[in-house]
Amino acid sequence: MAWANPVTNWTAHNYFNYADWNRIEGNSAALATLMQTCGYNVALTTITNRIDGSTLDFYDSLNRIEGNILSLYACYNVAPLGWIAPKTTWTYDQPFSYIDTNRMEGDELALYNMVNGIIQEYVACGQSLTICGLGWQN
Amino acid sequence: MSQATDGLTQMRKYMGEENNWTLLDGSFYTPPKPSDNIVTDSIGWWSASISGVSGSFAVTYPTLTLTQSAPFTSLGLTFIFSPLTGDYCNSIQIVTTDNLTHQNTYNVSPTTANYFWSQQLTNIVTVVITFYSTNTPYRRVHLTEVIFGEQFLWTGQNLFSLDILEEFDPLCNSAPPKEAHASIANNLNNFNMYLGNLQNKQPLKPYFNLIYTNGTSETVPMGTFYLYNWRNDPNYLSSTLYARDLLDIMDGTTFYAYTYSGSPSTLYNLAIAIIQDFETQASLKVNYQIDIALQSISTTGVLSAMSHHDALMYVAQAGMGVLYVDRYNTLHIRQTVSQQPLNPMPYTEELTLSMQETYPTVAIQDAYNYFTLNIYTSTIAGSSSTIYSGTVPIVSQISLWVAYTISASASTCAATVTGGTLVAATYYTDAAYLTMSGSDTATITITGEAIESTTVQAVLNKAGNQPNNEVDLDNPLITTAAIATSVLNWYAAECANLYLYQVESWLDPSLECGDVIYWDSQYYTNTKQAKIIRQEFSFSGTLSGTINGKGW
Repeated sequence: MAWANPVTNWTAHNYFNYADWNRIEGNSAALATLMQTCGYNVALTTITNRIDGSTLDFYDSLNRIEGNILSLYACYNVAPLGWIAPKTTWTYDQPFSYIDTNRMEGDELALYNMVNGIIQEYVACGQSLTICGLGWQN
Repeated sequence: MSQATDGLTQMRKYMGEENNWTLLDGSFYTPPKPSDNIVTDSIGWWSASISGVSGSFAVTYPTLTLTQSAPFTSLGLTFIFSPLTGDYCNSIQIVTTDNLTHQNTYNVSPTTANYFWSQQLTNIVTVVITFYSTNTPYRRVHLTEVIFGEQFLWTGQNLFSLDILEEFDPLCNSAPPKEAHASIANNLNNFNMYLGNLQNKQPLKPYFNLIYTNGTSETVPMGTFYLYNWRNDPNYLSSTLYARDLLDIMDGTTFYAYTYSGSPSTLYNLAIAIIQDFETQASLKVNYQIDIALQSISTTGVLSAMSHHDALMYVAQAGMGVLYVDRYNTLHIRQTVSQQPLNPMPYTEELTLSMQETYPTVAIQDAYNYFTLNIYTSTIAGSSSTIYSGTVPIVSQISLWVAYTISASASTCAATVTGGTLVAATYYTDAAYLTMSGSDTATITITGEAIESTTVQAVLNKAGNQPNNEVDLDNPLITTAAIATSVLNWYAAECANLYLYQVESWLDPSLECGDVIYWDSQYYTNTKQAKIIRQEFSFSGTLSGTINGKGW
């Protein structure tokens, strides 16, 4: 699935529609493909593609979506810049806001930037400076 | 679909994927799944399909079929779509079928999210609602509730006064229903006491809307009450509605369907059997929570015919618990512990002097120091005897309950009818349900092997030597010495709380009976604790009232 630019500037005045869910889930799939080029096989839990607004996601969908992001993070287990720990304890009657959507899409963007950096560094020096460079800088 | 007729009002907006539905301001919540079985709120009925760009649904249209357990007559239907978001269906078709299979079709165009369709409906058994379009494009049908009748909302200037009484007996010698009296304006054009808008058992749901200093507000439900009386006040400008909660309705129906086998049954299963029998008799669905501790307490007792309320009270007391209905209309049987709150309180609550109109009145009870409780043993007689004899006039066919003069083993009971024909008979321990046909006065004779019960007395003596303040308990479900000892110790521990508090207060609606709080006085702050056993809310522009506690 092709990467789509995430929206990371959600505010309280925005509506969140099914196409936005598709982008988040599609980007998880795109990140999983990207991870494959780095040698990681990430088994994502069911990616849902919504064709209209008739899908109804309950809290277990939110746990699944953020759980997938967490699985992608677990490949390198290094927090990229802007990373916020996903919430995988959703249950019913919890408020859902722009803070949550910014977290989901911000995390995906942070992972995407990190992995792309890693891939470029592989070409140059055969390993990831983003990862090992952290140790080197320290 | 059942959520569309469960009487629950939607309290919050739920997120979904419809176009421009979920605003990210934090006001939309994750919806509960049906399997979550929450009783405090309901989504209602949402259609699977969504409307198109013009708001119209494609064929096949969303359809909701409501089948009644008994024919209903009302002045119309109230559709509560989605008042919190302003969404509704603006074109629907209603097809009603009455008990003579006459069908009527109506095309209705609702104009608001809370819409009353005024139409005399008589003996209706089925209502089929077809939804054609929504007021906003790309929407499901969001139908929170269908009410068989009209819903009235009295707020502010139309609500002259509201009194709510909540009571709680931690010893379960009683289980008083909550009661509400509402004095309301009677000058509204759509409401007249003589039009027959009001019926017994109609739900009355008071809410307090709290506005905080930071501008936010919170709606506190105070319970579901059922009308039992209403009358115009002498000034003809206001009317007063009188209503009590579910426990009052349970006091007006009789639990006959108990079967004694001699084998132990758990109090948990017995409670559920009683509730299910009530649901059938009253045509009411009951949300309930029974303490699972009652699954490990068994009885071989004989429960004679009595009200469902009393039967559940015996179960609760034998299970060392209380029987009550909470503010979300859920019936509870829950074990209690002396000096512990009924529900977990993750915070410390204090009734400060600033919340009190006067200093608290504190009385001290005499201490009970001698407790007795009967332990029942029952046996089935080896031979049959006559346990009922009587006459009844029959026209065509009738069905009726017949209560025996003495309890009997159901499997040994047999009825004979002279002067009529016995069509069907179902026998229980204390009564039989007979269906008979004929055209004359029939004589009914029922024989069976009687159940004889004997008792021995269990004693808990806290007196040292002589009892000077004695409590004698009797509960037919106590059938072992071990349970009797447990119940007596539970009872005595609760009786050791001798201090009776009474405070005229501004009242905090977040406090409920069973809560344990600190009661401040001119002598103590944050020191003396008591369990709330009674609250009397009185609203007439401002909120005040009386709060009582039993403390230590």
